[in-house]
Amino acid sequence: MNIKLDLGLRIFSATAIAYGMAVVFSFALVPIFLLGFSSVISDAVYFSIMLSYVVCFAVAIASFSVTSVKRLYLSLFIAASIGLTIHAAFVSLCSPSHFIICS
Amino acid sequence: MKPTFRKSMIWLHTYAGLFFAWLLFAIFLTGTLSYYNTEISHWMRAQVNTNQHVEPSANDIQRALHTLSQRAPEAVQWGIDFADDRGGPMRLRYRTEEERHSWTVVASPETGTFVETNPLETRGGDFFRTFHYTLSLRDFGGRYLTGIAAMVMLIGVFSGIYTHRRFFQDFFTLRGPDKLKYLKDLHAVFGVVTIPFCFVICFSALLIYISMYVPFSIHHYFDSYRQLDSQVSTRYSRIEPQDDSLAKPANIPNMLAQLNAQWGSGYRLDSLSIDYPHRENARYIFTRDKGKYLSNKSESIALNHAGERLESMPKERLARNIRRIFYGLHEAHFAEPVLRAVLFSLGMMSSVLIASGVSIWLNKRQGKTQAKKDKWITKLHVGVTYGLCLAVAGYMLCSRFVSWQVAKGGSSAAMHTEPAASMNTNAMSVMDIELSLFFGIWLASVIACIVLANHLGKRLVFLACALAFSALFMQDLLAKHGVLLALQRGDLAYLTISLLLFLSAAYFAVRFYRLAINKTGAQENDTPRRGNKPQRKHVEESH
Repeated sequence: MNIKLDLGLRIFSATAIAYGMAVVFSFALVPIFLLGFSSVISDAVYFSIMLSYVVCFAVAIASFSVTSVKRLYLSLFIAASIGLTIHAAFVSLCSPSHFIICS
Repeated sequence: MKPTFRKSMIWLHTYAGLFFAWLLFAIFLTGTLSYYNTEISHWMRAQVNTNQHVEPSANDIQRALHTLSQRAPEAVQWGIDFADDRGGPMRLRYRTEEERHSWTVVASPETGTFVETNPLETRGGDFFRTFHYTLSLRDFGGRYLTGIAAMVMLIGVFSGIYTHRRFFQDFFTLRGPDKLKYLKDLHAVFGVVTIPFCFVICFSALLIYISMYVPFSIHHYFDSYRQLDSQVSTRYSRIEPQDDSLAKPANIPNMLAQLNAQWGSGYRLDSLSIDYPHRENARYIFTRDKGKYLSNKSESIALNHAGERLESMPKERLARNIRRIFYGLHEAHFAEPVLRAVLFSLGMMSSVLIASGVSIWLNKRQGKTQAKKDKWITKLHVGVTYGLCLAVAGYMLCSRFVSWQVAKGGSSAAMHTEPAASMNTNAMSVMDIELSLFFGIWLASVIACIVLANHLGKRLVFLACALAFSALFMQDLLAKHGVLLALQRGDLAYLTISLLLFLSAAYFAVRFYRLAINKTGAQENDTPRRGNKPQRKHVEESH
């Protein structure tokens, strides 16, 4: 692959996609905290956002360390899909009308 | 990309650091100065804060309440922010249904009451504190920029660990007199020392603005951040004023006895807030200073007018507490003078770490190419980094000069009793002048460095820095309310800033002297380095 294109894709991944992944996981981690740690919704949202920075950081590092750009984007796609699936699967449980059940 | 993870990290360390170096340097330098923001404000307003007292007595509180009752008899809330040992002045405040107002006071030796001080307001050290996270671009995305810079710094720290993997060998190595080797060793040593500091500072910076940086899930689950915050933060419940009831006199000695019983001796009061001071159900909330807590929220006790304990504040949720602790670690309110000095040193080392990283890259480039853009970057680097130091000196010099002019125009007694309204235009102009001067000097330094040859620009900025910091120190030495008075009073906050000014003046004088006597060394910066064979492979390939 062209070096400039390779670098451009990695920079895009380390910035925009890293932030997007942080946003996805700030949603996806909420049900994990709710169900896995019996947190209340406010704590779950708080912790999810805090941990989403770690996701952003990890994606930024991975963007420049994975040898193949294809593998990088495939990994990110799978991770994002898992995050969105978790959010979609439990979104009804965490909807505002279920706050009392969640907490 | 690079074949190994370590080489990728070295590449990332170089370019992530390079592109954000000047922004990070400005943030870290001003952030480091804001460890002493209260002390700097105290130093800059030295001529008005002449009656500092740290431990408020019952009599002090009574007198402050009397002043408030005269000034704002219809207020729904009064407040007293007590003077602290960092040079923070005593402030009184009140809130009515329509407005809020606060002002600085000093105890008048003649009348025994608290009188408003000269409202010659300077932003003082708070300017550095605000600048380091808004970049004076609060409404134009300044806080987002600093957030991005914090994440880049985290990446830089992480990749730096892989770049300089031989911690102990790097730590005990400082080679001279070759400039490049010296810079590399300095960079490595400071990098090793400041890893935990940089990590905590950058991660806590990101946590402080979670509602701005990643707001989407908050808005999905809650109406607003305020609603989320109301569920994790705690505060005293609202009280309703009792109609047709008159306040009973506050029993301050009883209240202080109650505080002693709860907190033991040796605590310091941060503030007192009184809800509905003219009603029978007036509530007195005493807040302890943050010196004993990692969190940015300290303990408080609510009492009624007789000094009896009212309901206590419920404990906050764990998630909020974690964020508060990171917030507290970032602001370091808990730091006593020695720890504060250590944190300040770590902040300065981080600033040097960032600046030296760019210098190393430039020096290595000079050995390989003679591109014109490299010369521009070299000149800009000198202008941005040392120009900022000069701007800091100019900012402090400006407020000192203006307050000296005002003091020359009237006696200090007149300054204490001057009505606020008559001085407001003056106060506004001082703030504007300070800001204009700060940014003007910084810009002028950058332009001077670009226009002049590299060694000339560097010499000029060093000389200007040495002169400016020397002028500050000398003015302080000769002033009536200067360092000599501070020595007599044992004013540690003031003396700390005087010492820092002296050290800064000495540092820049030495740097200028070395540049001035080392003409060949100065020219060396403008000529390419040749034949500089690597002696330690792992360090050479680091950048």
